[in-house]
Amino acid sequence: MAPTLSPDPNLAPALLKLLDRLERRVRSQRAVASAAAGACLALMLSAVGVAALRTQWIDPTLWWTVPLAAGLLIVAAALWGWRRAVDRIAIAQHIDRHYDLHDRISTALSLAMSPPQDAAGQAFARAQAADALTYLDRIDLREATPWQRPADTTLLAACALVTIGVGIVPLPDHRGTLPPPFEVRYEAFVDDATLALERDRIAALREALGDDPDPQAEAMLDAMEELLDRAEARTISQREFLEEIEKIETQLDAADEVIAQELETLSRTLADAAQELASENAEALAEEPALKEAIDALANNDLATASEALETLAESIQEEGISPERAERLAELLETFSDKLNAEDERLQDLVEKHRDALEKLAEQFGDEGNLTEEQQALLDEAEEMLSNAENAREEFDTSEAKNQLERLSRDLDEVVNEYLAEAKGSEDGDEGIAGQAEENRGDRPDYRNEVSRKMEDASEQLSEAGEQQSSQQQREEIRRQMQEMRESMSRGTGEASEEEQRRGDQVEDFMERARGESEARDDAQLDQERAQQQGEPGEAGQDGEQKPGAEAEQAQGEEGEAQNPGQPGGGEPPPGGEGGQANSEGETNDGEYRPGESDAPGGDGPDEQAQGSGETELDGERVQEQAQGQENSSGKSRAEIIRGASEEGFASAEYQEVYADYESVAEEVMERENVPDGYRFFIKRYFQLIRPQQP
Amino acid sequence: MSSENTAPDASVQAKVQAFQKDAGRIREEVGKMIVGQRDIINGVIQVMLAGGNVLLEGVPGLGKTMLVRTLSEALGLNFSRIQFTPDLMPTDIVGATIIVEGEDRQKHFKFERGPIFSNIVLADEVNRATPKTQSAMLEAMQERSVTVGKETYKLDDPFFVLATQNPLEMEGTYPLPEAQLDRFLFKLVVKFPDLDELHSIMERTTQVSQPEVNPVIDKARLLEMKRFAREVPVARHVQDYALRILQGTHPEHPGAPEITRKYVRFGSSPRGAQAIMTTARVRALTEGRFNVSSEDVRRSAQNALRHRVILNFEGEAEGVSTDTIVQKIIEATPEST
Repeated sequence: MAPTLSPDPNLAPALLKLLDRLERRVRSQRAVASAAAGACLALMLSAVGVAALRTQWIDPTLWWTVPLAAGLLIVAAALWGWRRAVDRIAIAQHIDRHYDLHDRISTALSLAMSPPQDAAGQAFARAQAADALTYLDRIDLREATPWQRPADTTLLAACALVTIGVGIVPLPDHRGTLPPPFEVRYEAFVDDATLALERDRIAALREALGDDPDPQAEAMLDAMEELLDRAEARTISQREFLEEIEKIETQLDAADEVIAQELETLSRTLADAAQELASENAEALAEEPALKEAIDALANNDLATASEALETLAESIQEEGISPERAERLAELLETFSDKLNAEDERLQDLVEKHRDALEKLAEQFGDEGNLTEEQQALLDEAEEMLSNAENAREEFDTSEAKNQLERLSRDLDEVVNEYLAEAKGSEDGDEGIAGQAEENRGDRPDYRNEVSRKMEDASEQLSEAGEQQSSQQQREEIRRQMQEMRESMSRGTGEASEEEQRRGDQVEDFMERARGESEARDDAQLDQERAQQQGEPGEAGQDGEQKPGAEAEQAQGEEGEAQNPGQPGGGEPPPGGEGGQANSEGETNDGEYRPGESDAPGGDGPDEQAQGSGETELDGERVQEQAQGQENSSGKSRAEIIRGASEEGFASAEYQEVYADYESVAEEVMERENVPDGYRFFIKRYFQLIRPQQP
Repeated sequence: MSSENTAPDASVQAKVQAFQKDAGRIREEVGKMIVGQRDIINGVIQVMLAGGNVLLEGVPGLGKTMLVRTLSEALGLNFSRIQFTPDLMPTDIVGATIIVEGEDRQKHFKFERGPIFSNIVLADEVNRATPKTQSAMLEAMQERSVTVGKETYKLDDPFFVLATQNPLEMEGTYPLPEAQLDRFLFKLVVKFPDLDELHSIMERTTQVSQPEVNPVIDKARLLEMKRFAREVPVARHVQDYALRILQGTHPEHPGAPEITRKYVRFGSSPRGAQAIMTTARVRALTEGRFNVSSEDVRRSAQNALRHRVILNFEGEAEGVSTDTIVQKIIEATPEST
């Protein structure tokens, strides 16, 4: 701004100088205020920085960055305050108002910045500027614009206190151990009674699998049992439970498919071999009806019948002996059959060779020129594809279990053939062959037929093993049905188990234990007491035998009793129950009440090996241990088995009468104790009338 | 820049001082007759020097007519008074063409000038005349000329109208429409004198000797003062302040205060800002200043805007006065943005 309108060249600069001083004062004031605001922000950031340093989120060696950043922030804020635009007219108005100058200073400045255009106005402007300058002497900027404390001073103090506090108070260490992961507890979707029932079903299926269960079926049962455990522990939701069941079913289906394929391969191979043998050696087979029966059964894919026929043949050889001619005939037949059971699938091999030859011929014919017609090229592609499929099928067959079984069967048959041939040769040489060797070794008449028959039995076992695969399919069908039932019952989940439902679950468990003959009848008060003890002192129930006088404690008694009388198979004939004595060892009680599975005899026969071993040889400690384990694993008829047997054989057995009486009394107790509607009471009574035991 | 341009114009300072002195003399001379009412006297003088007209509102007997007569005597101007009544005709104001007999015994038409042909006209109780009559006078106020028949007669300069209206006795009156109210530069509200002023009135008007009013300036000086008042430059920020006050009277303006948005139907026209600035110039000169201040604007704004703000139904129903609204607007408008 040029002092063009100043009447005195020295006066206009005086006004400008005054305004410059005033502007610097205003800028200083603003810079300090902005610096205070920036200091508030810097202190808050410093608090964060101090916290980060103390908790070592920031490397302690970089501590200088915190004050540096804070200082830069304050300086930046102060510079921003200083650099903010200042309206000089506004600050001149402030002076006018403070000294009541009626806008003389501001008007002089304004008219100097934008002077009037007409001469009269300019004259007025000069007069007005001169008038304004006469008031400069009375203006004191320190009085007009006194130093003011920044408005953020209180906030600044508060921020400083916060920063100091952050530097003093102990802060949590983020490097500490994390809290334990959150344990997911799903809502209960199945009650204890259903769980007990499902466990009982699985136990029944395990028993049905026998001593040598199908590994896949057993794995399925393990998986189902694990799912039940997880459902009881509420570590799985209902939806996840059902998904897992579905997954297991899918695996079961896939396994079934593989087994079915292998069975089909095995059966087809055996059937083809049997059919070829039957057609090529009809006369020889006619002289061996037992072998013919086995071959026919194999041709009809009836592996079980074939196994029985071979077993019969072996028994007849053992009992009746075998002539050299017959031995030679059997050897030829079996050798032929064995050859036809060559594990190398000749058809596949032939197919591969055939197509490989075709490809080689094509390649020779056309060389490397590749000038094939479309038809020829299509033919070549088709041949290559067929070759590839044949090789794949061959590889699959090589890796299949069916091939292994066929190889084992072929090997067993070869051994039988060798035995027969040795027998036949020995007879011709006047020697006794195997029998002669045995006679030489042991000094009396050898039972060489046992060796031959045993070899034959091995072959029979190979066939029966294949037949067992068919039966294991039935087991898996049972498991699948069980899984479907379990899924249905879980789908009808009852939600959170109430006290009454827990009680009912305990009753069902007790009932099932009693049904299995593992415990005595207990009343509700006893059940409640036990449950309360289990809830109040978790972990003791498994350690204290007195608190849980059920299966575990009694099982321990049973084992102890057996250990005191090792290797005593007992005297008389085994009862119809057969293994009732062993079952008694598990269900034995001291009060003389009904003991399920108990027979009149003090002990029945165990397995044949045990009976032979215990009766004829002296037992050592290990033998005793093996016998105890065998008894522990075996069991007599449980109540469930008795009921199942009654449904198949009729309601006339003495065991069923006892079970019926026990169940009926339980039902009557329940109907007396519980509030059962009359309609249901009728059905329950009617049900027991229908299954009432009949007179034998 | 030459020293001629930078040297202060001594004549300006002298003129300003003379203006202040003459205005003071007029005020003192009027004050001989009118007791108190300094704001009214100052307002009337400002409007007269600004070349406008003024509307005085007050109950009868407060010295309105006396003020006008005294002012005309102090200024050496002719004066006429028109009492507005419902049967007053426009010709009663502007004059009429009549048949007169000449010296040659010939009769001819002659325009007989009405009372409007004066330097100062007092339109007493202007709201009692019919709108037709009101418009005849208001046309003369605006155009500074009167047309009768085919002849147009220019009014003498200076021409200054003081209209009065009685806020009471509204029965049978014709309130001035807003468009005509806008033609008055100021609307001054004559308040009832206080006890001391009443004592003075009694002493001056009930004694034998009456104060004598003498002309203090002539017509030429008055015209010169009017012209000089328009030469005063106004700083941009002061004019901006006046305009922001004007904007504050408009309810639709975003910067309008709450009271405006609540009670005002229409705000002031730009004539309101013109009135503020012209009278503010006169006020600055009467105080011996070379510049118009924000205080001048504030003082003029109240008188210039009170009759230009139209209340809405809520304002009328709640009896909110325009004075209150204008005062709130002035308080809500900062001097600097």
